[in-house]
Amino acid sequence: MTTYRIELDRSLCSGFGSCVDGSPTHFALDDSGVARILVIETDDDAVLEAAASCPMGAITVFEQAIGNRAA
Amino acid sequence: MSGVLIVGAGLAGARCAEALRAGGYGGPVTIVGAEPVAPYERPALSKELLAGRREADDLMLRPAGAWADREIDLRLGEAVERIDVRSRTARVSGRELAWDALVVATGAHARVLPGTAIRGVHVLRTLADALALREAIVPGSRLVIIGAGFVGAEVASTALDLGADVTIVESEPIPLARVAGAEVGLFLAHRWREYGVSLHLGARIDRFERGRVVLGTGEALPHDTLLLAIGAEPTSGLLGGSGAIATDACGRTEHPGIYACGDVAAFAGRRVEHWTSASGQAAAVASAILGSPEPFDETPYFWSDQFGLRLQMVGTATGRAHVELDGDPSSFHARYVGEAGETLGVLLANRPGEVATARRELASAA
Repeated sequence: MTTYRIELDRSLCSGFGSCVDGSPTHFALDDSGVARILVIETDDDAVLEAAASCPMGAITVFEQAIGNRAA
Repeated sequence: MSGVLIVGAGLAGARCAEALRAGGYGGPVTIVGAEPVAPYERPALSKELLAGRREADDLMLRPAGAWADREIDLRLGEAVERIDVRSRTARVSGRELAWDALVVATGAHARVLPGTAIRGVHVLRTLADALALREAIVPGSRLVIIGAGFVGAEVASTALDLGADVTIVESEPIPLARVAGAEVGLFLAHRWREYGVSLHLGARIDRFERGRVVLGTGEALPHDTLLLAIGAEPTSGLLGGSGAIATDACGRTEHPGIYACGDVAAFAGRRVEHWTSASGQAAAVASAILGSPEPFDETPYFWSDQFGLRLQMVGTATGRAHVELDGDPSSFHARYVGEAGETLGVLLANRPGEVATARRELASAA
């Protein structure tokens, strides 16, 4: 099992919300419509799809053990 | 098993390959890309890359090793010279390759005008185009842009920030009226001029000469750099036709085993050149190849960064009976309303908090 670390660049976020659709336990939109991270570390592969679905490329996922970027 | 051959290493091709692997596809997956560069984020070309805020390496869709890790064979700078639909083979850079499924994700190429094959004329479609344009836009230089679409406006905005002198020439009397409505087009034209763009609307071009564009009125617009930003045409020659490749909502073409997605496709009857559509269509194609088809029917979405505005459009303005516009040129909300009073689309300018709501509203209405 891989543990992932999620990074979000809020300055890039456009409020599109696909991360919340695909991975509501890890992401939410705040009152201004910008995404925020609910959990920094997870072993749920859904975060890979959340990162890939972001049109702004605002989400980066790292493999925690080795630090490599995974998505 | 011959595997899946994906032609085109843009977002659609890349996402299709990833979705195949994520869905458990175990056969060979090959992506052939004409550009000598791994899949990258094309929307940034006219924005952050041109502005110098991001470099080519920052635009890569995935880390360099990610493709090999997923056993996706990325063949860059190569061409699919021809395909044989009956024998399910293709000739790739002189070698024959068999396929079970072929995905045409060749995208689109910049439209050009006759008489513009002269030095210093740019288009903006590829990373190489963007780097060449960036090189040409220097402080004090004169840039003339033909076409007041989103790409033209984004380049204009960036070039002004870089200290260039910017002129836009557009044949329509109001910019972006077809895609965003005349009301919004007037707002944008106002904003562009306020920021310093010399905007020629309803203009007819008489001829291109070296270093200047001559309008029908006889007025000459001198330039150091000329950009043609008049849209893109589907790169669909591989299937022998011209124009977009028609598919169903899972990307299936009229030929068994051949799929299309992204800017080259008229997907379920509609060609939508947006990032999220290319991505979603690619996933639908992968699902069809995997034997559990999931049609793509998401609401179109795109964004544009220009003149201090982040424009975000959800849905469409096509088929509107009227437009409800609220706000001013620095922050507004336009709602495109159909004959029956239904919302067809929403365009937001500097209103990030309203995007997810608009998207959900339109998704539930569809």
